[in-house]
Amino acid sequence: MQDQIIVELIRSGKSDKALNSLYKYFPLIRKHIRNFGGTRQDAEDIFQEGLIILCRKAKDPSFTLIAQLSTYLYSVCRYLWKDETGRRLQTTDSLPDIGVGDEELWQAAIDEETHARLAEKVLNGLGDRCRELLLLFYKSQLRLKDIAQRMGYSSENTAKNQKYKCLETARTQLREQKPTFETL
Amino acid sequence: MRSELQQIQQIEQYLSGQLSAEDLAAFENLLASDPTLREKVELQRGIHNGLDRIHWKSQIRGARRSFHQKRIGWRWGGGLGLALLTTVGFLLFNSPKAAHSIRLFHNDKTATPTASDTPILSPIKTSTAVDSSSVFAPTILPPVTNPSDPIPAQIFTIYTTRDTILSSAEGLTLSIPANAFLESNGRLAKGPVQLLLREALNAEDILKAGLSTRSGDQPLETAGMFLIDAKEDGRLLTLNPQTTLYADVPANAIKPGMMLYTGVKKADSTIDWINPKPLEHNLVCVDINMLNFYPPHYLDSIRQRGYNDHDKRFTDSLYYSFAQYFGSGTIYRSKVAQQEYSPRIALKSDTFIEPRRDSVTSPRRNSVGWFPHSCGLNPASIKTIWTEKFQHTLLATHEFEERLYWLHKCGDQSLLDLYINHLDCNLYELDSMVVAKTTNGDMHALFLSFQARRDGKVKAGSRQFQELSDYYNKKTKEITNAIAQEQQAYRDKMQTLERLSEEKHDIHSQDSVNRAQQQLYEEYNYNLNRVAKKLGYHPKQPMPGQTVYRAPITILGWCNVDRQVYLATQNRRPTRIINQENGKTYTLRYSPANFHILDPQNYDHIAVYLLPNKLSTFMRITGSHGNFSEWLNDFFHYDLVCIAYKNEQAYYYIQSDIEAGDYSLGLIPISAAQLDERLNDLHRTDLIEDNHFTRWEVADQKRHEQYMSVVRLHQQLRKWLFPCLIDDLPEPVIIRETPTYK
Repeated sequence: MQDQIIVELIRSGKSDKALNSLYKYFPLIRKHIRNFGGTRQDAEDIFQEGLIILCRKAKDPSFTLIAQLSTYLYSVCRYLWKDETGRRLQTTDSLPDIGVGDEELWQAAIDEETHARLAEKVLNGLGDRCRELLLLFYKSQLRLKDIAQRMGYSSENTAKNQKYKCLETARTQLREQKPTFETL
Repeated sequence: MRSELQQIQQIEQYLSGQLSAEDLAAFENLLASDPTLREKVELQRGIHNGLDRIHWKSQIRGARRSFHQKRIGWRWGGGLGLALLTTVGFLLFNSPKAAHSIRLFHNDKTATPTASDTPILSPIKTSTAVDSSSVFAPTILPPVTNPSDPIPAQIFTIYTTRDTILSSAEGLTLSIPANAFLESNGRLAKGPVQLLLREALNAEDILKAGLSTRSGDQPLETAGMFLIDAKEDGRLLTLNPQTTLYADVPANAIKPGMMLYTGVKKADSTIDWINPKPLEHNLVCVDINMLNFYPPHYLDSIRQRGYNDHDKRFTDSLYYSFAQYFGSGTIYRSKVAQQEYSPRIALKSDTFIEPRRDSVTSPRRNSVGWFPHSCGLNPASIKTIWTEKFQHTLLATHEFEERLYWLHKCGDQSLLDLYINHLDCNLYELDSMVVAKTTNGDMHALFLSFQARRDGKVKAGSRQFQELSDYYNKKTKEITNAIAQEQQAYRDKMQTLERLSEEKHDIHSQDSVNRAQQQLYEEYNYNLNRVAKKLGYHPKQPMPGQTVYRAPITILGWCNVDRQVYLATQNRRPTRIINQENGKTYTLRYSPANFHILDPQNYDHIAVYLLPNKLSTFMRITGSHGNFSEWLNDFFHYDLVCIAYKNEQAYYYIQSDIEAGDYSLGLIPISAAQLDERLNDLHRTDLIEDNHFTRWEVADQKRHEQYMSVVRLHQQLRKWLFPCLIDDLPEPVIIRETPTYK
């Protein structure tokens, strides 16, 4: 599948096809990570993280393709793995030089992802109902009325209240996780 | 709260870009002045990002499942395409096994010097190095009658029928071959011979003895003086003209231009030194196996990387394996042609070189690329010469070892060949050839200083040397090709193993996915039936049979009991199920159980299984650092099986009727066969299969790590030993398109 088509698919919300297509690069990434001391599980994790970063970046309208998607994916995964080994070994000196380029390109994306991961953790801790409610509201962009019906709330208002409660809990917990919030 | 809700709505609109231009400007103004609002926006943005990640993760999970599934299907469909996916990546290899077969190419004892090998050899054949009868401790006699000579004579008694090495009080070493002395009538002196030695090796002794240091009118710089007389029964002996005594005069440094002068006593009883002859420094052979022919710091760098640098089999095979890049048909490509290549190796740190004023004609700065062919010496040529064949030659000397160090650094194969093809020459003559070939730079200066030492040669018949040269030239080629082939075969074999390993893992992960689906499906059915009875509800019976994987999805409805039960089963948490048609409720109960493995660090691999009595499959539960947990369905009884591996050794723990709570498990060692029996008793064939897979995986992981560590070592060393070889690491863009999935 052509790269531009994949990006279009991601933007138009038909990401399952895009992801199926991107997944074929997994064996290459897995090989790379295993060659540099990672396990199979590490490879799965890094690849998933790489896909998340790539897809989220692709959604950004300002994102333009200047290299092949496979190159993006490969380089972000290599970078992620270098980062990860660095953290595990508590040093960067003894790291094998794996020739990662585009470091600046990915550092920002990865930093942003660290914050997002924190939020993800908080949201996962809220419980399945809350998570599903927020996902339906924000990601599937359903109306509260439909959500109420789907999730078995008695009325639209109940769903609205429930959503507010869930959001409030998430915000409080997220604020605790990051006590010093940087200003914009 | 109302305003709060409105604010949230506004933030949401702002973040999703739904505010009108007017509102947006107003909102941004507000944002600039209100830090609390800023924080709220950031928090909301964080939550959006978090939700986004959760959304993507579930999408990716789906892609992952279908990837593994399709891969399997595709694999069974057309096995050939497989290579495309799995052989991307460039690998280099070595292993003890390969080393073993490489070694077959020369049947010598290089790697394992045996006790019978003579430890140190000298050009003079001592009957045995430890024969004390031939080496006497010096006997100091009372001062000799001549009052003008304050130097005491040292007298040794030697037997002329054998070679003798003796050392004096001041450190002079004399090598005296057998039959070195003649009686006045020209016959060989056979009896014990008294050797009288006077030495004045330092300035003090020279002055005390009143010895002059002049040759004619010229002053001489002296490195020491000595006098040797030999007597048999009091009669003076002469030296056998067919033999030569060698005297090693101790010196702190070899100074160029030292000569041997013969002393003549003049009428005024001073000594004039005449008839200067160049000192010939004959080379002393040592056991070639004791020398180090590796590139500089090769062993150090192996040790630094945590490998055993004393294992010569390993270090040899690793180093020799690089010969694969030097074959005619192989990938020996040099970056040297490119102008920007500059040698990493600087000679300046080695201070023992005393460059002569006239030698360094052009400073190094001007000599860009002054190592013209520096791609390193072919390891196969080192392999050829570092053998028994080349014992007792020029190469088996410390002097050559010292030069080889620099030849490695220079990396010019033709210079090494020069030495090997002229084994009968004096080392200094060869040095001068190197000097002639390197017109400028440090190598030039360095080998000039080598030349000035006038290191001689090893005495032996030159015909033998000619044969050795031929042998060298032929053998190096053979070895290079053999190593290249060997490495290729090894590479192919390891690639195959890697590919098979990937395949096996893929099949297993597919099995695991299917099993988890099967287990979810069965448990869901069970729960649904139980709940339906309690709630007076009639579930649609899911289709039984082969399509288990799809079944849960086709029967999903929203907001009905089926859906609630399905979610509860999937989440494995206590859940209250409401039948909205009649308002009845029922709680599905799940309770947590935690398993702590004692001393988890003792095991390479731990797997914990739960066997629900009413379901046909097992559940493999997740955990880390020896802590595993799962929520148990109150409808079931569970058996617990825990299997761990440390290397080949299996450990296990089995307990029936697990209930919610905390468990500490101490594992017991068990043989593989016994473990199979115990698992057989449980009548769960899939568990046995999973265990077999784990056993294989533990061994395979070890194999993979071993292989990879050698590959890495090889890559790192290659960059360092042969810097100008082109770096062939795979680039991401060479991904080949895999056939499209159906």
